[in-house]
Amino acid sequence: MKNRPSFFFLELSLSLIILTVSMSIVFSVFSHTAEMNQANQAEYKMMETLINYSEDLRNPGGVTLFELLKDSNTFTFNADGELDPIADDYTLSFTKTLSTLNLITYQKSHLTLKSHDGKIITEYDVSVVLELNHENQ
Amino acid sequence: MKTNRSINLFGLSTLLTVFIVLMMSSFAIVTFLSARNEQAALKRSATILSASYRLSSLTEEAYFAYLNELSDLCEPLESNANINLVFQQFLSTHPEIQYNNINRTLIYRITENDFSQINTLKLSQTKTDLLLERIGTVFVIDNHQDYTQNGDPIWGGK
Repeated sequence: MKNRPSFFFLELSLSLIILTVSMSIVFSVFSHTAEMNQANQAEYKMMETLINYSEDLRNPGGVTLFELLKDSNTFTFNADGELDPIADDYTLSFTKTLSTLNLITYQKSHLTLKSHDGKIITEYDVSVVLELNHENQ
Repeated sequence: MKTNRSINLFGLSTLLTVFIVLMMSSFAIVTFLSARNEQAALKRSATILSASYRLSSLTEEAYFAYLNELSDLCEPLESNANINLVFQQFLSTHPEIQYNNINRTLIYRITENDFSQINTLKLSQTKTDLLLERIGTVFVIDNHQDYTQNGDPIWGGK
């Protein structure tokens, strides 16, 4: 009978150890999930921005609003997906080139969204015709 | 009496631990799976959007290349001349174009990976009109999935 209280405390201490270890695993899963959710929300926001840029670039000779405001081809976003010049969580870079093929001049834009570790999240190619060699077109 | 109370409490901490661990871990797994599914859906949406922009660009380039070529062929013709004379010559150099001579439509398809854009053009009667008028564009995913519900594919969809 004298051993029973010691068994109880042994069980209690073992339970506490298991509980502590399990909770630390569970909370690391929760924090990882929270990071994933934040990244997902940020990507949604940035995709909206990218679509807006791409639609601006679909107009012949079109430039994005941010190109007008800032003389740069690179924009940075913070972890929430908002434009932030000092953050480096996500980087949007774009190139705009003019190319002529069979007397047709195209404006070709390439937009690339990269994460902090350099992984490409998405890429958009937008091409519009600037000049044709026939008047009836 | 003290001894009896200890006996009654024996096993309670194990039960509570099992209950708490099961509850918290199942909740953590469910939220993690939900976030992972959302991430996968977002990735698919990004792929589809990227492909649609790329195919739109290629379609645009193809359309203006056809228009330019047809305009070159029509140049020697008189202003109100029927362009059918030169159109067969144009078609012979573009086997990728399907032509329906009843309603005078041209269909061409630009494909990249599982994605395709099918474009329909209408051929004008005379040189003075717009030679090729765009009348339709359809974006198709060739893996027979329907992405209409939040980017999650539904097998067997259109």
